[in-house]
Amino acid sequence: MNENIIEMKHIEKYYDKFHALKNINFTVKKGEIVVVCGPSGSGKSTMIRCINKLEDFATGHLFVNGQDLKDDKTDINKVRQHTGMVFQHFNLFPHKTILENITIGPIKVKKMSKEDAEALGMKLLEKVKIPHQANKYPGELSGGQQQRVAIARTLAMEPDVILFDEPTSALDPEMIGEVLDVMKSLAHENYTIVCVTHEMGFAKEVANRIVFMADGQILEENTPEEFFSNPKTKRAQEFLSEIINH
Amino acid sequence: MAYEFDWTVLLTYKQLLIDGFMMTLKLSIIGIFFSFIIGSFIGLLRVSNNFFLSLAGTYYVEFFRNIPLIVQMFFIYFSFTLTDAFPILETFGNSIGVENHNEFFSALIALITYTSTYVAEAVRGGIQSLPKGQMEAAKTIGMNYIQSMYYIIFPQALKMVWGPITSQFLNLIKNSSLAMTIGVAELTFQTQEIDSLTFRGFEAATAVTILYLLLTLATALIMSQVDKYALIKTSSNKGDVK
Amino acid sequence: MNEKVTLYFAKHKVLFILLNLTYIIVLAKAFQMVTYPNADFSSALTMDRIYFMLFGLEDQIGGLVLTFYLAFVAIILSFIGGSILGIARWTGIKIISIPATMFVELFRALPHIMVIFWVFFALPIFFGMLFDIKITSSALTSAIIAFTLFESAHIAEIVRAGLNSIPKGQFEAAKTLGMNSFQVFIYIILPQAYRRMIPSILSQFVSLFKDTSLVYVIGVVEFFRASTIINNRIYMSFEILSFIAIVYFLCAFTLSKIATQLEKKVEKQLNS
Repeated sequence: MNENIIEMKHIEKYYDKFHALKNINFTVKKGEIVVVCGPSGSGKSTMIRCINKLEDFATGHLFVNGQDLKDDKTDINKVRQHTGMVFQHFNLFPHKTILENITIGPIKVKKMSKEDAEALGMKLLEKVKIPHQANKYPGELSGGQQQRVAIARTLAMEPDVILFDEPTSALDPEMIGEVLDVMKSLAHENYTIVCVTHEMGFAKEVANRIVFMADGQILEENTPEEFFSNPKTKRAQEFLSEIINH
Repeated sequence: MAYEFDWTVLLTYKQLLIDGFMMTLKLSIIGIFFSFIIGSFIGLLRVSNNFFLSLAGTYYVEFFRNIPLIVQMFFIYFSFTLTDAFPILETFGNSIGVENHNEFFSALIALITYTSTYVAEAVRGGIQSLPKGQMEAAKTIGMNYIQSMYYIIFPQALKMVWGPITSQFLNLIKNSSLAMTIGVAELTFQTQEIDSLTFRGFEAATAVTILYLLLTLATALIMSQVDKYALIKTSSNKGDVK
Repeated sequence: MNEKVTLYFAKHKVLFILLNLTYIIVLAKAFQMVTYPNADFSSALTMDRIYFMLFGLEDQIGGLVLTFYLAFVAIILSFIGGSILGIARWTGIKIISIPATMFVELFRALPHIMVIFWVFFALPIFFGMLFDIKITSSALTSAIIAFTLFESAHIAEIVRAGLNSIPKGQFEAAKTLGMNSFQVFIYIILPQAYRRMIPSILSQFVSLFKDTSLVYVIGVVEFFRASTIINNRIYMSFEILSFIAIVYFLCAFTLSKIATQLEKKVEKQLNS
């Protein structure tokens, strides 16, 4: 049994004529924390959105938990139950309460009972430190709170891997910390995480591996220490100096 | 030669007005119900990812929207005898107290096909105006297309376009007046009836105008109550509810 | 698979249209064979009958031509009337906005066919009583008046919405340039508002075009009435009504496609 949760081999993707992903080879083992970074337009979001088939790809192989995503027989909804995603713009359901946002997946998709789901939901809300907001609606919460709810919603499905697509990019600066704290605690709990982010502090603290992308390609892959102190490619060096000087 | 108003004819012939109002009511209620269901379904077809399903939806909308309602009514009524083809309509008609089945159902079917296109377009607009992230989030927690539509997309879209849909229902009530051209004794028909019996068309038209206004106002009120109590809420302000 | 099909047809638009036409013709024929196998289009649709339905009688305007004539005259008059009403409502000056609102709400709530009857039968009596003279009304004039009445109400709403859609910043910027309210209105607000309204007004025109069929009830011999006159003689309603349904469809469909194209153009202008 493979301990690779994600295996991407020779993935190519085009948007019409634009070559968005070029020969992407990317593997993630169970328990790994991988940070994907790079300039905007580099294809980082596109790549992780291929993992739960929000984006399709032209050629190549993608295996999630051993399931071949190109195979028509694969039930993508089942695969998605095991991959969670946290979005840049949270995407909470505005017409459901916070607790309902978290429990709707377990109840409707995993057929959990309402009581069990709500108990799980409250537990997760306590974990992300906002249990008192359970009966409010997303519109009544701050951005940082909404994103923490989004994380709890993902955790409720007990995923094998959590994908983060620039989770703090849409937050006001003072709220970034609270979300990163939750993400760090998840890293310490042995969740498998792939995170697209510009938060290099987070990467330094918890990532096992940094993947640097530009122009649709993976240019560098290394441990955080090596990457930050010794970037090997010119692009990576330019990128890091830009980040540090802001 | 001055025109002398005689409002008493309205009392003498009040049964005609009541019958007409009931007929308009029947056309309106059944028409609204089915145009909502069919319209929502066609709207969902239109936004479907499947090329052929959405094309079928487009066919429906363009066809029944671009042909005038009165032409549709005439076509159904004069080309076919509905009760021969669908005897169940006769039983249904009898159960709601309608006697001229062919006229009534020809008008009703045309009303439904015509209005459902506008409902379909409204539903389509509502769904397409939702942020893409909603569908993506639903997919990410493992919901299939039907679950995503039922729990997440459609409720939000409906709330958003409830106003335009209300307008279409009010239009249906007004359009029901066309049924008189094929012999359905609804409210506008009765204006002519009373006029031909008493030459008091002015008074009759006034009464009928007031009745139409009451009907549209009542419908608008019902729709806004449904909006308040039955459609989705996005805030927990208890003050707004009950 | 769906993406490939969509992209293919997006590139090959002409092929798409041709395939659709073929499909429609096949469907229509199948429909006719199932529901009305004895349809006899050639004997129903003789040249002089088609001529009558399209052009009316020889010495007057009638048929489809009259339909377009009626629609054009009505849209122009309603545009003027609707603009006055819409601006009156928008200004918020109670003396003119309240009567305007009452007018608009009344004529939006009434069935169009009732307004047509009302104008044809009641208005001459009403005015005759007012001025103590006998007035006879022509059906066509009544039709034009009736359409102007309710279409103005609809256009008034479009005008009001168009004016409301101008961002407040426009007023403020113009005022800081020293213009008075009237100048701001004429030179800055109105042109922008009308540009935004064009698509809605066009779709209102398409509605109006379809509504012309209603004047059937007062005897104006436009396209629809002409077809019923023929039908009353030859009793071949399936063939005749199919014909007018197709012609109406082609006209309304084309008009609404033009309106959509214009809407896209306007949006491009607004977003540039």
